[in-house]
Amino acid sequence: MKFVATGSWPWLLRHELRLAWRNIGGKRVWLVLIGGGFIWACVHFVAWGLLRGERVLGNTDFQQWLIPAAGAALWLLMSIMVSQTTAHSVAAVFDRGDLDLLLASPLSSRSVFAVRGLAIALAACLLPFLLLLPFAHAGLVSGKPGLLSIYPVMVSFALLAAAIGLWLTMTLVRLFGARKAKTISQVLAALIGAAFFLLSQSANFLPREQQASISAWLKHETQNGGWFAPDSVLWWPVHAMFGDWLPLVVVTVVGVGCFWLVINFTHRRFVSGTQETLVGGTTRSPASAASKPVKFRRGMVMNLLLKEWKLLARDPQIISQTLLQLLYLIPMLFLGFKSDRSAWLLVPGFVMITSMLAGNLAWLTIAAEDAPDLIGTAPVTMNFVRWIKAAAAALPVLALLLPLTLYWLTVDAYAAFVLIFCAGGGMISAALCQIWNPRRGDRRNMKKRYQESRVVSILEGLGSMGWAAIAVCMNNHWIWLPLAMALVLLGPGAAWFVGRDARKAGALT
Amino acid sequence: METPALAINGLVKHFGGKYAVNSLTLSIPPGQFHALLGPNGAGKTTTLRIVAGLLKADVGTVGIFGHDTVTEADVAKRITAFLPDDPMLYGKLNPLEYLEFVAGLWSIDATRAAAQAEDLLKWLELWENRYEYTEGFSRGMRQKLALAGALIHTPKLLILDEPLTGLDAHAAKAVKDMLVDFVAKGNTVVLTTHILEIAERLAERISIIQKGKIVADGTLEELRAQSGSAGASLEDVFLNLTEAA
Repeated sequence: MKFVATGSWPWLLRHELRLAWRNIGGKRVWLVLIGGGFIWACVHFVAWGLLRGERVLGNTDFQQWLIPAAGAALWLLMSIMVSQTTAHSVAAVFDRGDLDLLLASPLSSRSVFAVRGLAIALAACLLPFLLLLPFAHAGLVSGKPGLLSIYPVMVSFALLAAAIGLWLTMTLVRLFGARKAKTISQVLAALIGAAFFLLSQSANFLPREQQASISAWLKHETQNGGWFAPDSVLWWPVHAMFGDWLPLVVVTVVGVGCFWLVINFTHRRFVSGTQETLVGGTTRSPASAASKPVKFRRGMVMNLLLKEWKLLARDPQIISQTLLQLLYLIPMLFLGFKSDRSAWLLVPGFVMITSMLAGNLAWLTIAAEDAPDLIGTAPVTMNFVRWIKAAAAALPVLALLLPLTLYWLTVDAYAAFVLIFCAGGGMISAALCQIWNPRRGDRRNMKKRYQESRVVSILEGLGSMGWAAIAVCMNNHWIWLPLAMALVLLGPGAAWFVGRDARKAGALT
Repeated sequence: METPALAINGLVKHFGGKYAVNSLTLSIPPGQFHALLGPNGAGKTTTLRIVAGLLKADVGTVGIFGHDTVTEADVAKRITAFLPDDPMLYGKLNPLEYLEFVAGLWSIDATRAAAQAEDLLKWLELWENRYEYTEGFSRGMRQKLALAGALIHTPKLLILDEPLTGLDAHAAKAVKDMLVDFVAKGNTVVLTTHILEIAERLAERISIIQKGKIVADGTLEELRAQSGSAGASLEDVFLNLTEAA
């Protein structure tokens, strides 16, 4: 018996969900679900404890700041969802090989686009659902059934985020063409994701008087009648989640309506955009200015380094995915240039972020080599090539830290030494994990890196944490040094141990 | 006795419990155009990948002009080029940058490599595309660029796995002419192909491999004699020999 008609959009949605389920691991996911389900049940208990009685929600003073705080958190969530849906929209338009099959079938392009949109919305609302649904369920047993409105509000938010992501991507395709749109939308997705963080950090760069005046203004605006007062339209999503019918209707209509409008008015652009990417076309490299004589650079090392840097710099997907880490680094770099001793506290953070960045780049240069057969047949040892590739990953990150290190040398030479020593150690540790446990990866699917080589990722993280801990120890906390050293040795050491077979088999070639 | 361009002795490779190559022995003298034929899954590609140094054999040795591919890998690789059936290029490099990188890997003199690259790209009709990223290239263009990469370090032994796949008739003829010319200069070519007409027309000697073993080896006439089908086409000879094995 068929529950859905063949070729209908629910049928196509079921097909997409089946593929998504198999992509995330199929039957093995049950193990994760059981573990995650237990934690989720505990969150329910916490939510029930918070909602029980009138202690929390019935308190008027509490409501005065709860609504703006929850509202701001919801808009932060929306920005993250839009970042996510924009990235997924790019993938939906540019990276899905089965689009040829779907668009060549008698299915309407509207159905295909709508199902892609729904899949994007679904992916975006998974995490918010996990975090917020316990409150909806706890509300039911705590006499607050209105909280069940969290369901439609989150669905509407996800649909709105998907609509914004799709519209943004389609508009960029129309304005700039498929290739440029891909780059711009990926960078935009990273910027949107980091916008709240950058905004929250921007106040730190202002003089103290200005910080105080902004704080006073915010406090004033949260009073009744202000922009951010609890009854402000800005916070209607929060009121909708509590079951207030007018905000609930408005939020639902806006979410569903925007999604419907985007699907109906941009599905043709979706088809033309995908065809433009499928047909391909050529992109000329930066050196195409004139017909100049051919000149090659000398030396294997220089050629290897340049090749890696060109591939990193020219790939928009890589730029967008490493951009987020760079964006988090920028406020820290600014704070680092403040001459007070609090800069010392930033060193572990620098070590963690730069190690992660170098680890990602090392994965791209070492594991995600596009032409391993070419490297494997060259008269050079694979180990030598891997070390050069690790250097190609570490040098740009070290260059990022160089200005700060030079500045610190003038104000606190010891801090500069600790920074460069531990950051360098973290980068070498991350590179060693890749060199000693080589697993092939696909640079076009960097996000899957953590799924495909979980062990290496965890070991890289342990090494980074170890070097960050050493930075803490070197700031007069020597007692923790044995623990930090243990972490430092554990990361690459375990990578060496678990990578024996991969090295023996000549992985990557 | 002349040192063989390629000497394979008792090569064994198995994946899991299945033998991909099973006691394979083959000797190819310098200056020969040798075709390696076999049905799908016969072990052709595995053999070539071991010869190219991309896979390690479980048992057996491979020598290229007398240099063992394990103990003297550096020397053996320096005089060998391998072109896989689906060569992977760097999508964000243009042809000139790709060839510059390959020349760097083989430590070829930069000035000589630049001149060689220009000649190769012009000959393979990729000169007009020299500043375009290869991600937009058709399969045939990618195949031609990979071939240019294989030739830029002037190898003595050229190993090609299905080299004509994806090439248009014009490009395929150019490649075939180039291979004949390459052999005429005293170099050696080992090629696998499913297009038997190519082996029939170009190869001086043909080896037929099945279930990881050489089941027949010789000139076309010798293979006809082995299969007992005088005057038959290579296709018939091939079918007879592989069905009998």
